[in-house]
Amino acid sequence: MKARPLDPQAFTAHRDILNHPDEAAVRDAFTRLPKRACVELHCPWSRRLAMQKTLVDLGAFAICLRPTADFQEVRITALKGKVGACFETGRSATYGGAALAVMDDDHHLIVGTIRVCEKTGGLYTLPPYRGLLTVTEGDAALIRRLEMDPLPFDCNTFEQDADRLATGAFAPAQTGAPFSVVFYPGPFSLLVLQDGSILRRGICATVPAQFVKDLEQKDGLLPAPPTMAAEAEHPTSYPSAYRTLGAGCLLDEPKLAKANPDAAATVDRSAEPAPEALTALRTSSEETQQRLRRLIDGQEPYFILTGSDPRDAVGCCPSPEVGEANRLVEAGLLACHRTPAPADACSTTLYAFVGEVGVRDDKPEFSINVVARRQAAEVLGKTARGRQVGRAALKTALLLLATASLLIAGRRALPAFGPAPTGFEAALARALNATNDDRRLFVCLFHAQETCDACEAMGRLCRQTVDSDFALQQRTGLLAYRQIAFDAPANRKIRERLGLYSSTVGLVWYDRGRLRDIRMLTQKVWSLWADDAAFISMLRDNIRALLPGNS
Amino acid sequence: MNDDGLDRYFDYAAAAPPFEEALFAQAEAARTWFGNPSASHQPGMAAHTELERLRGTFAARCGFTGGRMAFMSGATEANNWIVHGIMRPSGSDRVLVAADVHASVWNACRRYADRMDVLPLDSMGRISLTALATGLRTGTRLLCCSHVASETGVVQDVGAIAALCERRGVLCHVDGAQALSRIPVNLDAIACDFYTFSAHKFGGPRGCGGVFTRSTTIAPLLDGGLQEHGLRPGTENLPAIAGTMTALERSCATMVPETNRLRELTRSVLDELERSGTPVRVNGAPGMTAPGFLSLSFPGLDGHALVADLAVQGFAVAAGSACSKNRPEPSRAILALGRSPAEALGTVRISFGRSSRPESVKAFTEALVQTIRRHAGHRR
Repeated sequence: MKARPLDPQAFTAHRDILNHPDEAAVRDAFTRLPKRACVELHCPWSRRLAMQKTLVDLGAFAICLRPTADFQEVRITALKGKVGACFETGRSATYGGAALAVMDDDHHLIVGTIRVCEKTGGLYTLPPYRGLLTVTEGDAALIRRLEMDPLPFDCNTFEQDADRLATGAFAPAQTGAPFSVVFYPGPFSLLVLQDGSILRRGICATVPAQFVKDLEQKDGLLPAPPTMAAEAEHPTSYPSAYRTLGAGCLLDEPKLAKANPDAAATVDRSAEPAPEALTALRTSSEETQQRLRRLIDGQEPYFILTGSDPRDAVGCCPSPEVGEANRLVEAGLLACHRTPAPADACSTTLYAFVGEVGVRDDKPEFSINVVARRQAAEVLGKTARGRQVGRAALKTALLLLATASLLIAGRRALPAFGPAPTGFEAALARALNATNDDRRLFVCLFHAQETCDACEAMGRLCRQTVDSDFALQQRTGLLAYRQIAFDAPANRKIRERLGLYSSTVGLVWYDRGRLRDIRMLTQKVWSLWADDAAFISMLRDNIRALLPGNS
Repeated sequence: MNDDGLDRYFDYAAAAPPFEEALFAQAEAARTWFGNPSASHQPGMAAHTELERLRGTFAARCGFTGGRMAFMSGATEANNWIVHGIMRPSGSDRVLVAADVHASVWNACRRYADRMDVLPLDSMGRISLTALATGLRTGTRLLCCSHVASETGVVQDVGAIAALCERRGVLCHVDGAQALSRIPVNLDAIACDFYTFSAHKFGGPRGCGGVFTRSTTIAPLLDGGLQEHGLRPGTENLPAIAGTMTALERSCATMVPETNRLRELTRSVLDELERSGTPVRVNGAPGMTAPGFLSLSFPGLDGHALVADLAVQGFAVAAGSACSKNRPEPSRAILALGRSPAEALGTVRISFGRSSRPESVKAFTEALVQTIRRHAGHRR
């Protein structure tokens, strides 16, 4: 009978390998794996942070990112299976690397030696941590108790450990000392270096060269090629971040790479394709080039492909066309919007040129990126020899199309407010206390009369955002915060028209006393209400997008 | 449903009155997300997006990551899916089932009676890890137990139970139907393979529940499409799921203050029974039962008659498990505590909830004492 619960073989016996997956494919594969397992992903460098975040959200741990020599591709490995109760068996773990402290994917901050529960002790004996952590065996009597009367263990010592780290001594880097560009591959989510720098996994950063050799030898730190110097970040200093943010400064997530195609939610009608994007277009198949010519010549906003990328090992209906289109997305020529795959159908992807795809209320919106299309048309024209598109004519046509799409987008922003049913606008104006000459943006919390934790948090965060970031606009009457109980009898028309059944936040724009726009943030507020910083940031961005002078 | 007029309803363990907001959310979802989530058009995709949002939010509220969650018609279906899915394909695997599990687990396991072992409870209704370690014999593939026992309300240490099962390589199935919203549930701290729930136990619509699973794929009970990760065919009941999510949010939001209030109410009943000198045995470990739960045995009396008499006086309580009521047999779960058949037959389950008020509980206790005295006059 095994005394210890975690058998390393349980993690390696089940391994899933995914090539160039999207987030949905990672989620699907990860959740289908058994309770203890391993997953391996291969993705472009630009997608590594999105992949890492997906894995962290899924509860993966010991995540390691191994870039290829040219830092163009990354192999990510992660373990699944840190679930389970925490019991005391008297174990402790000692970090033996060159940093001052490390933090794992379960927010255990290890400064020297810490006590760990039986489960965490077991996880720390797994291969990714080998050589980095030394774990004691624990007490035989306590281990026997696991079978009869286990002693609970309080793993929640993060804040105490962070406090202990903050009060420790940091060795400042030598003045004028050189810096090196490095990459920390994991398995910890971050290292706190001797000078207090927070070095996060998956990020290229500049660190004092004096620390690098030890970190390379003991922690697997990788030197980054000179080409990565441009994107290298200067690490945050833990002592100063702790003073302002407390232990939470360790929990900040790394910013997602800007080249993440799935994150292309913002329309940028002037985004210019990178030179490598046009190179990728030149080398694409004749079929793909034809498709893009039709897209441009026919003034179509997008095209649709079904099937999966052949690089995705578990994808349904592999399609070379999808693979090629995805490569153009990765190169920065195209953008895509992936629609949720029905249970018994393969995925459908909408492709347009870079900067043309936006998302509003979870629905894709398209506009025309004149610059990208013109440059693509030039390449396609040259490639096709003789299919020169008259620039002026094309420009005029595209501008016309852009104007049309703007009009369409404008109409979509007010999807059904054209012939408003009697009473809705009046009810809304009454509830908002809007006047006949109002020119104001209302940040509105729609809530039930009986409130819950979530809607109270939403209200608090709305007020906080409005008071801290838009105080001037409030004073000048350009912006106001309101709360509307949608289940009050007087607000029945509002509830029915806006389809309200649970708390949500909406931005309501009045101009000269007329309702001009309503932007409901339902999806966003419900996904972010427990994350103060993300909620405030999201709301601030949306308010700024609607306020005059900010569009 | 308005809470007015529910102050004499003390059978929350059978079904909690639905929250008004849950009914509202259900109706609104039926109107708004009418599309079939498996369809590729806009209404279908909107429904699909909403379904996945609700699934993610529900799982997050239960502290569940890294596995799959499937909505079904309730815990009964989910429990059957697990037991049959594990036991049917194999002719030799054994199942170990706690003596106090719900009928949906017990009766599913009884289909494999020659491969079924029963895990005894201690006199307080708890699963002893020593007994579990002994009960997990060679060939045991599945353990079934409840997080909160449906008849006594005893809270089991499922974290330790699941950990022991994992050490022995045994799949662990926890029926959480009585636990969600009554006690804090963090599924990432419970290494079980299956955890089931029903919405109507926490003020959601009936006909909705489901399973959290981290285990290998089990074949669906029914043939059909690939909905719910291929675990449960049939068009998803999105309106009921929306109501379920709202009910969970509402009930969890008030869990902490409700815990103390409900414990006060159960304490007041026990104090009054003691003051009145009524002979009674309390089933379940003191301090180890879910808030608002009381299982009382009145030796020599007929629990069903007591329930019927109290119903005439306007009070709603249950005699043993709601799903086995009106059965003449003594309750299996009460017998498992070592009670005599006479005590088990005289058992009444009282379960308080959000509309239970001290005044109505006081009136109920007085009626209970009077009813017991009257029935004691003509014992069986």
